[in-house]
Amino acid sequence: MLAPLLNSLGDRNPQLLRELKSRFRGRGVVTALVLSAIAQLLLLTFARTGMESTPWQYCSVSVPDDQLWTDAMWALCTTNGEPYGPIDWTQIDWSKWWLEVLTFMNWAMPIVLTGLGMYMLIGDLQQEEQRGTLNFIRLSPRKSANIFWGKLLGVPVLVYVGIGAMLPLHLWAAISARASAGFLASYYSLFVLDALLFFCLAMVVGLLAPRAAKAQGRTLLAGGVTLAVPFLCAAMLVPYHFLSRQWTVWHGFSQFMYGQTSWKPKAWQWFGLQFDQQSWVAHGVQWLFLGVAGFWLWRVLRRAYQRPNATPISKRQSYGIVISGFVLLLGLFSPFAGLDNDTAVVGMVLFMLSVWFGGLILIATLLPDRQTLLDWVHTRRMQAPAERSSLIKELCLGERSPGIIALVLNLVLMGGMGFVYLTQIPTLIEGYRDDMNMIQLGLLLTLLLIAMYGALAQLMLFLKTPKRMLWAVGSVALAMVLPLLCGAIVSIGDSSSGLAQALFLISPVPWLVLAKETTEPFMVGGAILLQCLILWGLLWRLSSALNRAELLMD
Amino acid sequence: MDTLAIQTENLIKQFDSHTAVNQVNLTVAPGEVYGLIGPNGAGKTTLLRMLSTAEEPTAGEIAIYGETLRRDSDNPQAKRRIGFLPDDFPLYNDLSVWDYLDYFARLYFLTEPKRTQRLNAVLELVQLTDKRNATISTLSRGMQQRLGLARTVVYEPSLLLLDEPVSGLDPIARIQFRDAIRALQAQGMTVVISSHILSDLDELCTSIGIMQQGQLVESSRLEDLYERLSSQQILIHALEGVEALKAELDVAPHVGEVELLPGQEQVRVKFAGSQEDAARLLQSLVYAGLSVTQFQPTQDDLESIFLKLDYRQTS
Repeated sequence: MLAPLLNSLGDRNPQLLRELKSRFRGRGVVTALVLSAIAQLLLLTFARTGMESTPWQYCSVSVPDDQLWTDAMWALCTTNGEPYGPIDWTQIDWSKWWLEVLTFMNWAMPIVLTGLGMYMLIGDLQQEEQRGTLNFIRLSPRKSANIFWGKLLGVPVLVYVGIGAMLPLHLWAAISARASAGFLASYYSLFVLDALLFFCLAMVVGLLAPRAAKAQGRTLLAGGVTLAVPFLCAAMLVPYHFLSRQWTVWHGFSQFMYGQTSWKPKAWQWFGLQFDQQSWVAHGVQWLFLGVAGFWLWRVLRRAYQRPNATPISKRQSYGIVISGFVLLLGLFSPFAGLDNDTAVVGMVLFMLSVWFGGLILIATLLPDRQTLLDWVHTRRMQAPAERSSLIKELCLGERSPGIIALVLNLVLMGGMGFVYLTQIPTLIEGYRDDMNMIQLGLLLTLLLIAMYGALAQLMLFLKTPKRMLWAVGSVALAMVLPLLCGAIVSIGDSSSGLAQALFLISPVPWLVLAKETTEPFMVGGAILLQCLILWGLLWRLSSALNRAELLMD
Repeated sequence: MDTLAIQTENLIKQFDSHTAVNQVNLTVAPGEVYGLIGPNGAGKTTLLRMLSTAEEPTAGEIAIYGETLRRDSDNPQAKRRIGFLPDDFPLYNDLSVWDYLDYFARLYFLTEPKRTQRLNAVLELVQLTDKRNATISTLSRGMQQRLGLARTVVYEPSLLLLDEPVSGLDPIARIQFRDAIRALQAQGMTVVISSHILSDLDELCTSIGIMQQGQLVESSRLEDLYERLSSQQILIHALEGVEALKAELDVAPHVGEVELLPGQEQVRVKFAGSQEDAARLLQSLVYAGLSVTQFQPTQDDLESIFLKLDYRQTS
């Protein structure tokens, strides 16, 4: 019965069949099931021990506040009514105990699934890329989506088996803890969507890491990534993701995720849609966020697979990612439904961090290397003027052209959205007008700085040395650290030194100077002018290098 | 006229300042076995990788059976027509021979019952039928290379691109591989094969292309190449000695340069006539009273022609 099913599955998705043949073998499945059973047994044992040591926590009678940590508290749910006496099991509210089991499993299952699954996917794709077998799959007429689904479902299959074996206990715990069907539907849907998203990210990393490692001749780099990325995602991103949901989708279900607590966090809103009023609104927005992230990750994944020598994202994709990413983010801090002071500050900080984070990611993913630039120069040189598309169009949208103009355009998009957002806030929050000018200037300085780093990185990526990627990373890091370091040294002797202020203004933390009331406007203007001049100089240098390369082709 | 199996137009591939393939205009007709020769680094592998869609050209166009390859597309139709066996042939060592071929057959949309038929046919073609259940890691290099060929042809591509397919194989494995290619040629498959073993190409190919410094400096049918560039030589020995022999040869028709082979009582004669003319030359020598003990006509083979052309520069 299984053979015809596998045969039909293999016809639809040969990659999945190949992975299952390789992994879904007796010993592996039994090991996964045994490990899962041991984990469940350990969990129940620990939970039981926990109850025996603090029975009052599970007692059907709640501890009055004035009896907390008194003998009366320890006497609760004991057969003889004495503190630390034998437990009276009839008085135990088992739903509380099951709630603890459920809460632990709610957190542990996604962390285990994400960590192990990502590790397997990154390792598998790295191995395929390094061995060269992936090239054969690339040459096949199967659509990339077909291959990805095969990998997604097949490579971590033993983790799925292990987690699947935990589901009966999870469901039983949920029923016993009186968790609603709504929570379970929400939890499972987001569990699956999160896993898909992280696994797509793992595949992107698995495809890109060997390329970066090869470019730098560092195989250790790929090995480090295989361990570091799943660890970071499982240990930091998943818990952060789950914690942040207390303000959104799980606002109404907080006891099932965060334990019994009287504290109820304030719910967020997105462009005026209140998350605490209707659960489906929060879920809709959450799915929208995950859907948009998944859409772009999938596009990046497809590109990494189909075009192993191209930049990780195209110029067109970069504009889409920046616009959709910032619209989603700013929606959470939009002033539609009233924005309090604290949320506005969090929003501005998050926005600034996103500009930095987004800018640096764009530098790493949008700038082509020397070979691609030479190909571009070569192709343009070979084309008749009538065939050639306009230079502006090429620089903004072209596949192989330098990425710096596209980076600048993205920064303009970020800046545009940021300035519109910032101008909305002061009308609603009193007392913020003065600081807003400082924030807007800081944003302008930051955008110029990122453009400068991008131009520097693009110039380094055009170097002849094979270690050009290392040069690009090193020079950007130096450009970030050096003004900061020099500024700090100069300010030791004289904290109000003009030179120190100027150095801080062209460092990643211009706020250090902008926040001071004594800062002269000409100093800020000078810093903006200086950054523009440096940017212009770097662009001129890049343009000369490209022209020289063209001349050498004759 | 049939659509060409391969047509490239000003194909260029640049690696940094190094031009690996330079303005190549290659045409291969359907059913041909096209041999690609040239020194190491001449651009053969890069050209084959571009034809197989494994590498993007810097500039230029490639059409496979009339379909121009597009840079922004998966080119699924063209990919179904192409079978590519690179010089390194990574395999999945954990799979059995059958499962490996089955996986690739499925990747190329082969369904039952045809899939099983094809798998049996290709295993027979590459003489690995008795190894169908063996794990790939247990196969010898020659067997793995033949398995690579089986994988390449299992979905019946119309165009087969083979990059150094017999390098590192022992003579018997080479013969087996050659037999397999001959069988594929008989089935009407177009084959482009790059190899340094020119005697193999001599036997297999209908056309030859020579690459030097990334350029296709010669591309013609094998018979035309022989006609243009191969010269006939005759080794002659007579008991009367080389001087007497030389005197007769100097006046004989179709005889070119006469070379005395040092240390031997033998001459090597460049001969421009046909087989009948060679027979008449032998007759005239015997009539002249010479006791001819050796009369051995030979012709330049592909290797001699290649060396004569002196295309030895890499790109």
